[in-house]
Amino acid sequence: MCLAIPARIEALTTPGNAIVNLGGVRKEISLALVGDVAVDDYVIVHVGYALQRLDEAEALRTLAAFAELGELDELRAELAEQPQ
Amino acid sequence: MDAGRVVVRVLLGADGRISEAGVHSARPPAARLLRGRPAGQALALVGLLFQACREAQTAAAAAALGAAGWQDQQPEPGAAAEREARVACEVAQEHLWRLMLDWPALLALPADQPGLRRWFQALRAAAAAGRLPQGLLAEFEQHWLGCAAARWQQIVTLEQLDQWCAGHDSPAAQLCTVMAGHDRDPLAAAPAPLLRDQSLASLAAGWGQDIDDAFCQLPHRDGVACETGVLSWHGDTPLQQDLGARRPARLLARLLARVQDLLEILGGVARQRIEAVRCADGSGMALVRTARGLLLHRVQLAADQVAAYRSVAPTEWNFHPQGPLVCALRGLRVGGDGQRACPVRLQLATLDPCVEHVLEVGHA
Repeated sequence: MCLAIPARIEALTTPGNAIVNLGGVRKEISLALVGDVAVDDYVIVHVGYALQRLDEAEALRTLAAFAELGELDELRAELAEQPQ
Repeated sequence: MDAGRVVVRVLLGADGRISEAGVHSARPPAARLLRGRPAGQALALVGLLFQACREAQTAAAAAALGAAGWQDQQPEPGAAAEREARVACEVAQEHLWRLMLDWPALLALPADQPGLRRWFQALRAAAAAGRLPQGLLAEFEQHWLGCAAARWQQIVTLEQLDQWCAGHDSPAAQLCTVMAGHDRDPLAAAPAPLLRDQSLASLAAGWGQDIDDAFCQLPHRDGVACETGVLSWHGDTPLQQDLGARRPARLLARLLARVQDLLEILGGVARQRIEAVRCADGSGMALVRTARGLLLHRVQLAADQVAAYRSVAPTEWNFHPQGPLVCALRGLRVGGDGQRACPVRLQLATLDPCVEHVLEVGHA
């Protein structure tokens, strides 16, 4: 449950919101549940909210793990498409 | 990649009731990433991947690895209590998120984002210190509940709850009043059974060696899909007994169960939320009672490396094709125009998918 992907803040928008980059996908999220954050900070995003700020090293380690998981997903999708 | 999603499809009949309901939960098979890794590395990876419920996931992984024989897991005195406290703080955080933000927003009630942020800070500080939150019960009583916890505990019937709500203007009274208004359908379908016996020894005996990939996707107890969330362990209070007989849709029941759980945590009651056993095949199984329901990890080690790792998340219990959500949706009245999906969204929200969800409404 509850996979939560680190995202880098690209821009602060309307008060309390931000645009983040989630693996190449830009998305607006709420900053209501975190304290002060700035552009280029990494935050954990969960169902549209930034949950907490993350230091860059941990964020990059986590993103590497998700990248590996993405590869597994793609492999699974390929296997599912192959004729039995 | 994304973190997964739950897709809910309902068909509305001409009478405004749902004639068919289905749910599909698709989430990345994250446990596969753990296979072949040293136990310590697997534990660290769980903490990275599952940061939204890090305490529960880390507790489950550590307990399962320990039960599977990982010798590095030699807890220091007090470590078990600290881990329990950290999980309880995370559970409280989830409860408050629902009560102060998600559900009020859905019901057009005021949401308290600044208040919730302060609660998050206080609960994270308690978790970091490895203790249950202290001194926060009065804050909860004064600013959310609207009365002393002792007074709240005296409410044992639906009529008493209605009277209490009528006499108070607190966020709790407003939320209970509005939620109760959506919970009155006399023709609501029979709900999914509550999984009341959640002792891991009992569950493990019933499951035996059957925790395979199919079980992880469609968990059950004796073939029955159950509701395993906070209501299943707070469902025996007199008020819940009264509600259970009269409000099968369980919206208010789930709300009140979360309040009860919060009062326990903020009141310093240390309920055991983590259990682990060593299975007959040498694998370790751990269970954590989270805000959403049962979280299960099972791990098999070979020379301190992960040979097999499986997990069952609360989402799989709650959004099982024959589980709590689908049982609640069948026959549910959502209005004649086909657009008033609010009762469906309330069912979704009170079961809390924890991932993005999509609701598709069609006509029979």
